[in-house]
Amino acid sequence: MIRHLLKLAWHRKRANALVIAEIAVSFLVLLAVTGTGAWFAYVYALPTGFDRQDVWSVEISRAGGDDAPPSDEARAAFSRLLAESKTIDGVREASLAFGVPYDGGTWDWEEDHDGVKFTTEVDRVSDDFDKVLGIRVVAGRWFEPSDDALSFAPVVVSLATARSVFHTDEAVGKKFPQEKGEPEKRVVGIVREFRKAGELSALGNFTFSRLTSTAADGSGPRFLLLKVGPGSGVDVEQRILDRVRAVAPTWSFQMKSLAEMRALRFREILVPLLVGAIIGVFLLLMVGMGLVGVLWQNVTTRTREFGVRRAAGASAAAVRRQIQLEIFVSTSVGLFAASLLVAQVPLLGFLPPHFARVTLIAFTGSAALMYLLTFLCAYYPSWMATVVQPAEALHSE
Amino acid sequence: MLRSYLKLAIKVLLRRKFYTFISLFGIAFTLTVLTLATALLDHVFSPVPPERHLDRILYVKQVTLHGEHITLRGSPGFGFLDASVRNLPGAARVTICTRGSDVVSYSGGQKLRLSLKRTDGEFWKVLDFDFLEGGPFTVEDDRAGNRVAVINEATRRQAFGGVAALGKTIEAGGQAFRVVGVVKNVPIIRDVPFADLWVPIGTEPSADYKSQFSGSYLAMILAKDARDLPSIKSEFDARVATLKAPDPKEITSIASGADTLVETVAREVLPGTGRDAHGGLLEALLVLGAVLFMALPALNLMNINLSRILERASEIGVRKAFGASSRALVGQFLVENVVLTLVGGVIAWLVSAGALRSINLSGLVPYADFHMNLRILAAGVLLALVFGALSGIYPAWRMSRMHPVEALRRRA
Repeated sequence: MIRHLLKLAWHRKRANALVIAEIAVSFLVLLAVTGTGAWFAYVYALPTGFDRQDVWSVEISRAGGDDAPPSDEARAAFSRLLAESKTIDGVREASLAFGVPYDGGTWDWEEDHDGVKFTTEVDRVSDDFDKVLGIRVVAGRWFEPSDDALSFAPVVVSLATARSVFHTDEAVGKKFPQEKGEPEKRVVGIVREFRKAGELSALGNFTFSRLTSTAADGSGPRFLLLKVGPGSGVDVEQRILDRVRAVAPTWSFQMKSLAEMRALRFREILVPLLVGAIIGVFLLLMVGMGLVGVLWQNVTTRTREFGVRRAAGASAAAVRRQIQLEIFVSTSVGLFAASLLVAQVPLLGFLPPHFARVTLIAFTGSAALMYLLTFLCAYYPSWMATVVQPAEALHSE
Repeated sequence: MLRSYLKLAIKVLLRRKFYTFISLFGIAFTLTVLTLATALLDHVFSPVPPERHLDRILYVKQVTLHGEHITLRGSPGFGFLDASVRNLPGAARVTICTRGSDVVSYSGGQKLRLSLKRTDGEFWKVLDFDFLEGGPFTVEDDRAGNRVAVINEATRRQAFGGVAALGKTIEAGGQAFRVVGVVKNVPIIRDVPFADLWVPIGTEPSADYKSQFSGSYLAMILAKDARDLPSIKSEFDARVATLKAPDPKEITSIASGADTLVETVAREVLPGTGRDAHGGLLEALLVLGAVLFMALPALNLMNINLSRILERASEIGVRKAFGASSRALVGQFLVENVVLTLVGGVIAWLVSAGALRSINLSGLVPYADFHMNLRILAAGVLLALVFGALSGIYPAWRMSRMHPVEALRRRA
């Protein structure tokens, strides 16, 4: 039956080509929308590795600019800032960091390790960063004040990083790759996961290095991250700002809760996604109505053909089935053509890992939706084809 | 001739209302999306106050400092701008200001989040702000570091309840400022003039900014004449080439550019732009995006048009039999399609105007004042014509090729 229909479709290839092209392009649009949606839904459900509840960040703008390494004076000011903020009423934990969750920035590091290339996002944080964010260490330990005395630079890595660098979960104590001229690095602890950009970010490696008050290299911290008591309000905020300003009067400070920063990031990602989804839905609605029109016209011009079939003994249901199968064939050809195009994308290899599963779900879902859409579009025209009496149909023209 | 085509077009459109409806739905939707995109671009790039003299303004918003180990790409520092943009031949005025930062203002136990921009006195002469009260601060205020501020309407409402604010004090980022002027709100999409609160650069808590090459500043150069822009650009490039960074050990070369507004965006969004910003490439990409977006709706409309051919077979047959040329038929069908897209364009125009109004009211874009204007109308008509031709030409060609005998044999 299908082979017969394919033959019929081939005979009408010129008329069908545009319809098939339309189906293929619609499928690509649908796939883009569902694929993006499915990707964000998938990563949203995964753990971030930190607890944002009652955490506030104070962004520090140094008078000397933030790109240059901090002077001795500035480093002393950072130490005082950290010590001072721990004594503020209402602040439970405090730490300094180069980057904090939802800050919108990334610091990536790419390195060869025994010939294997790996990439990791990096952050440089002070000792109590884990307590502020409730980060759980699964093996080894977090940074400690006594690390000042170590002969190497300690790092804490995520489980994924340990796997991609050492190909094992047992990475504590191992030598971590370093750039030329840098001091030796060793892994002291492993955290299960850390996704600094939050729930909607891709999955990747993460490495923490330790921020000390003495190291003269690299840029200084940019954030003071504070865990405050539940329900802290504007009064606590103002108290904190007054105290930190008193420590460094020439610097400026900007305070936000992680909840606020998260809302901002979410809006940046979700608003374009929503606009895209709305446009996608309207496009499909338009395509659906267009297909109804095309199929309807198609059926009316083929009245005689259906008349002949009915007269030769085909039931009304058989004629309906024929029309629906015809659009099924067109849809399949369209989807096949679009799939050939889509297949080129993963081959280029720039999509993040874990993508295959999500892509498969989005692909199957989109294909099912396309079949449903074209089936619904053919439903009314196929019924129209059978209301005409065979005798009348043969008589027409 | 055209008149009879138009008459016929309207007759045809009224004959099969279902087809006309689905065609119009697709056209109106497509053109609405494109009109909204045009409106957005217009509000980002059009010469409206405060950036009234857009055709004469160059911006320096980015600097790249290369070193052996580092590449810093970001906003220039005051020191770099001070050394590179002053006294350029052909420039009428030059202003340096900060990119703007969020500060918090606590007034009476409530917290306001304000965007603060530090500017010099010239800023108010390069840009045309609408003052509701008072006036700008001056070059003298900046030099003396006077704690004075110009605020916008929204801040006046939030901090002072909307009553006259002149002479009152507003606290922001730990400093207190005396209000000397109130201006109309500037939409956030005009990021160079935009702020809630403008204060003199001289009020920076520390003077360290004066020597920095990388920082959070930007400069605007107002040319005497739009024709001077290329010479100002090349003079700026020549100056940057001779500049020495404060730390020559680390930084070996400096790259920057004086850009028009479109070029500043191109420099930001297109990767790999070095000294030259590719404003033309950005425009080409936008046009390509619009054409790609039109592809599916055009395919849809083509399909509908093609299936309507058969409905009109006898008409085509008669016209052909009486000697109408293929070209005349193509012309006729194109006119019909363009009329349809123009009707869709009118619907799109109305829907877009409504959508922009609701965006203004929703507060999604702070201080947005989106509205339709003649430039958007011109773009809308152009888009409708392009879309009409794109979707009409193939079906028209197919119709014109129909064999007269075959066509006459069929009955609609």
